[in-house]
Amino acid sequence: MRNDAWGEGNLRPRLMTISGLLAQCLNSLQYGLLLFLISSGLTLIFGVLGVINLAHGSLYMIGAYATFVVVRATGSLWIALPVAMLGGILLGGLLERYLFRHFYKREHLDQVLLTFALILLFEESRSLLVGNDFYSVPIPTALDFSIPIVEGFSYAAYRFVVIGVCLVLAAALFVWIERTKMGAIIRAAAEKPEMVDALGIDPRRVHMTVFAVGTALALTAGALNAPLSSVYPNMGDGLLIISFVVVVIGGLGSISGAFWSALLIGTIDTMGKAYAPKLSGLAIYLLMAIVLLWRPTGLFGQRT
Amino acid sequence: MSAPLLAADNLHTYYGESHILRGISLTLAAGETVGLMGRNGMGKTTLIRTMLGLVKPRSGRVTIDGADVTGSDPFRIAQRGIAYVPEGRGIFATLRTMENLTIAERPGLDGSRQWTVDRILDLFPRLRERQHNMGHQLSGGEQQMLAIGRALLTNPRVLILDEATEGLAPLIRDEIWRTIRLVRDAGIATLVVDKTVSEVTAVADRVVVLVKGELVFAGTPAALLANQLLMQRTLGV
Ligand SMILES: Nc1ncnc2c1ncn2[C@@H]1O[C@H](COP(=O)(O)OP(=O)(O)O)[C@@H](O)[C@H]1O
Ligand SMILES: [Mg+2]
Repeated sequence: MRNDAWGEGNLRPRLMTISGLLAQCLNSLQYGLLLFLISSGLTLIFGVLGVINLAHGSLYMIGAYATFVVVRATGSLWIALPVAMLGGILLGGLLERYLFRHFYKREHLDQVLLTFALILLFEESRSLLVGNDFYSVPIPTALDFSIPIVEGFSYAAYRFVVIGVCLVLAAALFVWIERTKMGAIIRAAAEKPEMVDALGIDPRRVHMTVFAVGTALALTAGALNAPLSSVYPNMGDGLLIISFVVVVIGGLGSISGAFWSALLIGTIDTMGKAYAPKLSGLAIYLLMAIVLLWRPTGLFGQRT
Repeated sequence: MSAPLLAADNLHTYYGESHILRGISLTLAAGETVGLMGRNGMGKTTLIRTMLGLVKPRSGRVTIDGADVTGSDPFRIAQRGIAYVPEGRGIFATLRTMENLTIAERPGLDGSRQWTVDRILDLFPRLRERQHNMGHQLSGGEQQMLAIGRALLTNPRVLILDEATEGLAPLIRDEIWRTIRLVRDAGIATLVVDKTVSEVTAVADRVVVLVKGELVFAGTPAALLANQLLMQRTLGV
């Protein structure tokens, strides 16, 4: 059947091969995992702090620019990655301690205005410090090669590294949330914050930890993806929107929901762009609308 | 005489414009057991929540060891050794039984670790069997045991129980009352809110009765039991 979205001009024969499909599968996985790093922080912060952080995409942007700056100065992505991670923890801790903490009991509109103001603040600072040009970050020379997968098809080694690092971080996040005392306190605080207080647990420590970890994950995502996407103004905006879709489909506040949802959205978006470019922009939002109507608590976030 | 461990002094608490607590004063001395009684909607839960800092009074004071804690963060009040078993149990449904216990565990104000997870699991063998289950998979009785065990793990000086036997089967109720006696005998001051007059009067040193946010009786269980008319009018028994 002929579908206009598959218009002849967009039919790229190379994609229609097995190796083309394989490449898109790996791209889907890599993009999905990256989305998870961003949306897990977003959903965790919403679940525990009750704040929808519109500046979460800007944190991703900061991670990417920090990586660009560090790589330019030191020539090493392996220095930039931990800098982004630790810098994220520090930045997140400070933001929570001196800004967000004062907004938990405020109106939603105040919170929206705060986080929107942060976007402007972060982008203006970026413009002042680094300018508005596009920059690329080189892939480390040791990884600047392709790994042959099947006859006639190979895949960039650095993309495998991104997949690997994301998987390690996702596993660490799961173990932390599901298997440690702090993780149990975080889940408890997302469910019944008042009861956590009544047990004598200092909620400020919990909030700060969650915000710091969420921020670090966003910066790390920006750092990992910088060599693949290059860095440019407002680069986090699109990812923020799509991360919201991930969070909604995964179920607000659910980490495991965000994981499966990120892989699903990553796949739909990647495959859509490759095989049905005219439809792809619409597909994920359509999916979100259907999920919101049909299962408002999300597809995966079934906890209680 | 030293200051009472926990005290409410002329508390007035509002929900919006409705005046719920109308000048309540109450003391709890170290090691003492006080029964707080009254029909539904009289303000028992509001009084407890005000003392715990979960609701702010419009006027009046809450003190711990004589120190003013009115308006303090609830976690600071809890850290002074006040433990809470809320109405409806407040179990973390998304946490395993064991996690519900371990997140609460900490030494008491004096550094004591009388109550350990092991001791709680010995006290409530059913919780040991269910230790890997999620909170929402437990029965009402098991949840109540978990709520009490969780509160005890903070090694408190005061245990406040709000309707801890409500909606439970008779055998489970008996087990909860046995536990409350055990807690009392361990020297922990207890404030017990319950509608079972016979049990409250049997376990408490003193009882107080609330009607529409005001104290209408404070005295010994014997004095309350002797006053048939008051019991009928204020408790409906
Ligand atoms: N969160 C609330 N908002 C408004 N009114 C409330 C709230 N909680 C309780 N009330 C009202 O306050 C009164 C006292 O309630 P409560 O303290 O729960 O009584 P009790 O524990 O003795 O049954 C009741 O009339 C109840 O309807
Ligand atoms: Mg009540």
